[in-house]
This record gives sequence, structure tokens and C-alpha cells, in this order.
Amino acid sequence: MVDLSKPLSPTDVDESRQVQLGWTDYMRAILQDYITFFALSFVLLLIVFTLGADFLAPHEPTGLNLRDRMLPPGSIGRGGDFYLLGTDELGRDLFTRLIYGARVSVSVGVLGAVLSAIVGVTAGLMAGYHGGLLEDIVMRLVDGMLSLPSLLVALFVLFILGGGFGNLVLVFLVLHWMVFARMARGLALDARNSAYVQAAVSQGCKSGRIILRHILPNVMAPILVLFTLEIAVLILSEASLSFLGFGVQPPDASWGLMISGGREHIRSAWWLVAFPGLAIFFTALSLNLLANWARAITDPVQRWRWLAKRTKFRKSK
Amino acid sequence: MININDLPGYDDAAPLLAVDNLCVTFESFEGEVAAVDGVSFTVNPGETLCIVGESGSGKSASQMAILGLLSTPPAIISGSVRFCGIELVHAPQSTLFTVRGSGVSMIFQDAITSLNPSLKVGFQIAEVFCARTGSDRASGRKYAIELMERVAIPDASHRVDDYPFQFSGGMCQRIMIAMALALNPKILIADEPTTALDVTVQRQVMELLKSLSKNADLALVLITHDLGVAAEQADKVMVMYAGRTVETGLTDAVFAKPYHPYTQALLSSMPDVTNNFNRLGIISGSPPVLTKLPEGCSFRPRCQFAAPMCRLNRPQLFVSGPSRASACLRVNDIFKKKSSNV
Repeated sequence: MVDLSKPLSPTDVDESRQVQLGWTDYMRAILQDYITFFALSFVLLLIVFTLGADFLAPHEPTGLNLRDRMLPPGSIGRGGDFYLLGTDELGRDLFTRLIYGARVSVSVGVLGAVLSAIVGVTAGLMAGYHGGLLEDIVMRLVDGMLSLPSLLVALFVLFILGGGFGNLVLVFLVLHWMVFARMARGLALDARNSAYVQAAVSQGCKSGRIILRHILPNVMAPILVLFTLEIAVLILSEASLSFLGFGVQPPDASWGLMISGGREHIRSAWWLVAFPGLAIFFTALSLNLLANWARAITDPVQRWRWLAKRTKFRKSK
Repeated sequence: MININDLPGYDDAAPLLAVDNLCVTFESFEGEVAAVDGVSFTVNPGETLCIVGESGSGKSASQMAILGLLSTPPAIISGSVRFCGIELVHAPQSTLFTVRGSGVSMIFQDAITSLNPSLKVGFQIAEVFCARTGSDRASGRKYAIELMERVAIPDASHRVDDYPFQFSGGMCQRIMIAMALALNPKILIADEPTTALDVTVQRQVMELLKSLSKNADLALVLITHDLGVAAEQADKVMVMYAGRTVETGLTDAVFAKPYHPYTQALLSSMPDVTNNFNRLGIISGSPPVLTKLPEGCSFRPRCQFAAPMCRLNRPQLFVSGPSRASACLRVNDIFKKKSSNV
């Protein structure tokens, strides 16, 4: 109990500031937030399977086994192999192919989103902060590119260049950087006139420093949300392009390709379409949920609230 | 790092800040608006200059123009601003980058929004120091703590890693001041530093500025509409009205005996404990719209001493006494005669 008759001594002030939140508090808070916990675990699981596909997959991804064709989920093949999610029309293990497919789908999505975010955010922030001719050029380019029908362009480019991983990422970069550029430019326009940017200018900060150190951290939250959503969008686009036969080429696996292949057998083997479809659905859902969470915790005030609600923070003296 | 001394035009003997005939004009739909119209003043080392005036009288615009903070397509700036002989108007960006922070620093009205919400205060305080001197983060942090102690923030070594939202308004203003002092500037321009604060905190911040200017030989340019602050802090005072200087001089002299009707009216609208709590004086009317300035003297429509001659031309600032100047044509009729009677 603080004695109110005396002035506060520095040690009293010290004690009230002793609350230091460590990573264990974050872990505890995440466990309390079921939805985020689900989304985060799913994404982590996906990352583990993507990185460790060679060790975790029970079978060869392209290992044919014509004796065990079209087995339903949970069956045991003639050779005694166990197929968790069944097999496809060539007797390949669906679970294994799902894992290898995740590798392609996720890396195309993440890589495409990272590259388009880097290009788009850089262009957008520069355009928004400097204005003038640079802004006109960048934004007219963005307007022009946004008015192109993206699926058509993707099909056209992939038809000329041929499908495959690298070209897919390239197409996604070309078709998606504008989304980031437009948002970053709007945010930079807003931040440029803010008092803290003006204060930084008056302290002698140069424009590069202001864009990187002062504007970027403040506009990071919406960009991070967009980034996460964009990964989901790109995974879906990859699935549709591969479904149409312009993305990843067989015998490599990708979720879209698996659905495309399974479509012919949907009457007799529902699992060939259902499981890759569910994988896409849950990935996109988790990423959307994570985006929501990321928005909350990138802001210092909201992060504090999110933590305070779920930790013993309030109860500590 | 470029030193101020290496910039072209640097001259030790020149006054610290010499502003000569500074004009700031904005293009608008109703024609050009002269927000600042021919303002001149000088600031010497360790001196405090107070610029007083109503909202829209050009106080802030003139100071922003000094540091090149106004973006120049809408604003048109002419005249001359010399910091130690270095010309700042239309100066190359590199000169401005060097002078800002290490020569002239500025703090703003609303400290809470002037701090970057997503950076720790310690980092913000030492940022320019680290960038200019090439120091690492650890020594920057140490320097930030030192500066925070200088501006009397309690428990600085713990609070250095806090974010701005964890500080009160007065503390944020102290952090702003610490930030502005990071490169040991010679002039600190304070744009209404206490307007957003409550009265007791105002006092603390003003005391802090006063002690800094005394101990560190820091010249202060204080923009305020609080005459009490001006009376207490300033060595020199400059009264602005509608973008022009109407009166300037040593604080005591101006406050004891104003030589311009506007200054006089401002002073009489201040509460005065020795005045038996009479009704406060008011200045009737409102400040002129800058696109439609009245003919002759801008203050004429609101002036109780207005005479036909005031309509003829806009009065220039002329010497009206020892080290002071006034822009009133009738200064001799109104003020000097009255004083000789008393």
C-alpha cells in the first residue's frame, strides 16, 4: 500500500513498472485465443510438412503402385502399405502427394507474395512520399495493370513461357505488386502529413530514413494483413492455374493439379478432390484468421490489450 | 558527417539567425494569400525571442519556412533566412539536412502526435544522433537516457524503452525537447509548445525551456499566443498581425508601454490581478481574411484610433524608440503624446 501522505519515491515508481512481458506470456495468451491458436497451429503444421516433406511423407510422391489404385482413405494395400487418405488412379499415396503439393502451393504463394510486397510497397511508399512525377508514373502504371484481366494475362504469359514454378512466381509478381503499391501509396500519403513525420524532418532526417524508419513501421499493420491475405489469394490462383493446366506440370504435385486430376473420378473416388480442396480451404482460412490477428498485435496499444486480456498482467501489482 | 562550419557561407561573426524580409505566399482559388509578408528579425546566441499573435497571423508559417518545412509547390517563399551566414531559403536539400537538428531544431504544439507511435522513445531521441555520428544502438540508448535525464523525465533508464502512448502529454513534450536537443542545436524553435498541456504542466515545460536556454546557451524562438508566457520568458518580443510584424522590441519595454494599438489591445484583454478584476478588454471584430486585406493598415477596421490617414497606405515598421519598432502611422499622436501627459 502506498502511503499517500508522502510523495512517491523513485522506488515506488520502479515497482509499478516491474512488469516485463516475456515470450511465455505471449505463448499463454495464444493458448487462450482458440481461433488464433488453431490458425497458427495449422500454418505451423503446414510449414513443418513443407520443409520436412522428404522425411515425413510415408511414400514416394511419384511412386506408382498399380495394384493399389483408387483405395479409399484408411485402407491397407495389397503389399501391406497403409494409405491414410487413400490412393489415386495410379496408386500413388494421396497423403504423400498432398504434402508435396503443399510444398509447391505454399512456396509459390509465399514467394509470390513476398516479391510483390517488396516491389509494391517500395514503389507505393516512394510514390506517396515524394509525389510529383514519380507518383504519376507509378500510379498510372498501377491503374493500367489493374485494368488487365489477370487470369487471361496469366494464361497468356504461361502459355508463352511455359508453366512451372519460376514462371508462376514471375506472373504473380507482375500481376499482384499493384495491390501493395496502391495501398502503400495511400498510407504514405496519410503518413507524410502526420506530425511525427514533420517532427522527424525538422530533426534532420533524410527522406530514405523517414520512409524506412518512420513511415514503414506505422503502415506495417495493414500491409501485413494484406500480405497474409495475398498469400491465400495466390495459393488459390495457383490452384486454379494448375487446375487449368498452366501451372505446375505433372508428375509434380500441386493442390490445384490434384483437384484437376481427381475431377474425372469424382463419382468413384471423392477423396481425390475432397482432400486437396480441404487443404486449400483450411490454408486460406488460417491465413485470413492470422491476418486478423497480425493486425491486432502489430499495433503497440492493441498488442497490449490483447495480452492484458489473456495474461495475469492485470493482476500483478 | 558534414559540419555546419563546412557549409558554404558559414560565418562566425554573422548573427545566429537573421531573417530578412521573409515572405510566404500560398496559391489559392481566391488568388495569392500572403501568410507571411515581409518579416525580419534576428536572434543572437542564448537569446529568447517570443513571437505573439492570433491564429493565422503567420507565426507558425514563418518558422516552418525558416526550416524549409513547407512544401514549395503550394507555398512560395522569398526573402532571406541566414543561419550563421548560411542562406536557408531555396537552399539545397543537403544544406537543410545538415542545419536541421544540429543548427536549428523545432518542437511542435501537439507532442503526442509528433512522436512516432510505433518506435520506442529512446530510439527516436537518439535516432538522428546515431545517424549523424555513426554510433551504434547501445551508445545511442545511453545517450537517450542522458538526454531524458536532462529534460527531467523520472526513471529515464527504465522508460527509455517505452512507447509514446505510455507517456502523458507533458512527458511527451519533454521527449520532443530531448529529441530536438540530440544534436546540440544552437536555436530551438518552439511552436506553441504548451498549448496542448494543462496549466501546471505548461509551467514545468516552460521552466525546463528556460533553464535549458540559460544553461546550454540555447537561443529560443518561442511561438505563443499566451502573453503571460511571453512576458516571463522572452528577452525580445515580436507581435504579428495578418502576416506582418506590427511591433517589436525588448519585452519589458513593449509590455510596459506598447507602441501599437494592437499590442495595447492584446495586453488589455489579459486578466490582471492588480486591476480589481474589471471586465477584460476585447478586440472587436475578427482577424482579416488574408485574401481580402483591408486597404491601408490591416488592423484599421478593429482599431479604436483609426484615422483617415490609416486608409492610405500600409504602414512599414519604423523605429519608434530605443531598439524597438512599430508599424503604426499614428504612433506619435497616440502613444507618445499620451505618455508625455502622464
